[in-house]
Amino acid sequence: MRRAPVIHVALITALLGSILIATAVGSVPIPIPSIVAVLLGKAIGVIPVNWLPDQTAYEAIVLYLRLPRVILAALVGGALALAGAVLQGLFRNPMADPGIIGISSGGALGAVIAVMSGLAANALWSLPLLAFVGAAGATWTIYILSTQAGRTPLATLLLSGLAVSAFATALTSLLLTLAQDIFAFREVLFWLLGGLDGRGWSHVGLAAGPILAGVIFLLLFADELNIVAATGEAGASSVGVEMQQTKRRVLMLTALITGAAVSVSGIIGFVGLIVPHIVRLIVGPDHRVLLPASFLGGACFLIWADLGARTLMPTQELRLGVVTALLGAPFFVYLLQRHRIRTEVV
Amino acid sequence: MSDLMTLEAVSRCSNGRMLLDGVNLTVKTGELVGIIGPNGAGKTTLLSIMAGLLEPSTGMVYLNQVPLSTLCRQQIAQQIAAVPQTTTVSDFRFSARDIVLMGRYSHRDRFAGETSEDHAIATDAMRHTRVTPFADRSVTELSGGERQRVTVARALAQQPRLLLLDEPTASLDLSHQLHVLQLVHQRVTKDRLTSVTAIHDLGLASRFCDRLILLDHGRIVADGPPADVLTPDRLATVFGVVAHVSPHPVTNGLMIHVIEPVRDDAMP
Repeated sequence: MRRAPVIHVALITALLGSILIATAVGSVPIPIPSIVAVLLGKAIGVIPVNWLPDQTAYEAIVLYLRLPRVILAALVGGALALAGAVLQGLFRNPMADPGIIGISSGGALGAVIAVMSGLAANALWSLPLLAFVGAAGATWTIYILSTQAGRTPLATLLLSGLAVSAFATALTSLLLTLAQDIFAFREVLFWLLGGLDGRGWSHVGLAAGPILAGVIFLLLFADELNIVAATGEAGASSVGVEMQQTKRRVLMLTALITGAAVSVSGIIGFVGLIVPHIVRLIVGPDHRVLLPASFLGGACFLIWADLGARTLMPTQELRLGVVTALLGAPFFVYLLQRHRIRTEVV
Repeated sequence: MSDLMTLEAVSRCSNGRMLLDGVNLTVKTGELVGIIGPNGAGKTTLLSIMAGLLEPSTGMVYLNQVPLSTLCRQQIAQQIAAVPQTTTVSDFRFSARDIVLMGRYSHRDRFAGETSEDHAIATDAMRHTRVTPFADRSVTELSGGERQRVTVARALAQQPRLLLLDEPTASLDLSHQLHVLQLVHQRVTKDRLTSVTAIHDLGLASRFCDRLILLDHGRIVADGPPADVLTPDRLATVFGVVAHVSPHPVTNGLMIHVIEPVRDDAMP
């Protein structure tokens, strides 16, 4: 059951490597020693000689263009993958991910309202704020709808999630068809397809706090998630898990990190669904190992997907949400075939 | 003997149907109580209420004179373990040992991992339930009977004072049926465990239980030693069968031989 340290160390190494490589690659390639030099210069004020031929330009590209975007990709990817792993365990359902229970679509609706009402044009921060309110609002609605006499059956929760998700998506489409302004239309569309273009440190500042805090608290629920995943709700109650409280806290924390991710990146599908499955194939079902590994794996995955989004086409950026689905879907099918997994959670 | 659990006028109503109707019951420490009755008599509902998994619509449940509803899940789990009738099949590939270790949850510190004591207790529980040979196999690969023994092992690892079993022998073969009931019987006589067990097989029930409770339509219609409860009259009125009851020649149980269904015109 315990293969924790090895896989975690490997993934942390992969993450650091991915951050360096993704910062190096782009229309202006920057050698890795120069990146290290910029970072060292920023951190301790010492720049090794000969590592930094063009200090001003390299500093600008590394510090203000690429690094914040790469770090944001890591945060968003990690948050979505962890949210997926948590929800799959809680619902004992391999199809669960933040998209399916309405968190993402609620967030997107909030963002679209911000754009269409003109709020986003006047106050930049209103877009992420409304996206976050939308995600939290959707989760809260789902929870209230599914709770009767102090009990919230998980199956009901999943179904009302589907309903709320469909409703929010329909509202978004409605707003979209009503759009008069072609620029607003384009912005909304960009939002729905998800992406990290033009994101900087202010976005990192916005998302990092809630994501890191939410992730740390969610890791503390690994034991409870193991028990629910293995024995179901009644089984978990009878060995001593306070189910109602666990559900409420886990859902709210999941909404927090998903809402924070959606608020800076729009809807990015597939990460929350496939990364946990791939990680589970390698480390097994134990959430104490699975949760941190999913966060790290999701972070690596989205860094590479975003690198693909901005470098695959020479003239234009691809939408990140499109890339994750294009990469993710075939790879997932390959895994399904290879491991002959039909009904089991891999 | 002290009263371990008391039910006072417990009723449970669901969608206009009375599942339990004014049940009064006291279980004393060290008893092995069997709950019998036809399908839909309320056996599972009664066990769920005793486990605190279901709230009674009216009435009170006490554990050591403390209302069960005032205890948190952890406090309940430290004293009561429940084995459900059907073990939900999980798609997650946890090993049998992982599942048994989950029984230690309520005894564990929030931030501490499993101790060597937890492992020792789980290993012991698996040995007694004959789970050891497949301890490290994934539960998704086990048969229904093997999975049921894993759940019994998990309940034993909980080290409860009250063990609630709902049809523990339902999916077991003959040898394992006997083994599980002997194990529970032994824990009750030697380790002062108390057990309440819903059981279909009246012969096994009469052999292993000191006391039988006969439920019908949510009410207790008989409560006492097996020979007093399992009379031909009651088998006719409650189960609707004409049966011959005699002491078993070898074990100290009863032999119940069902002859034919009660004819409608003969029903009282």
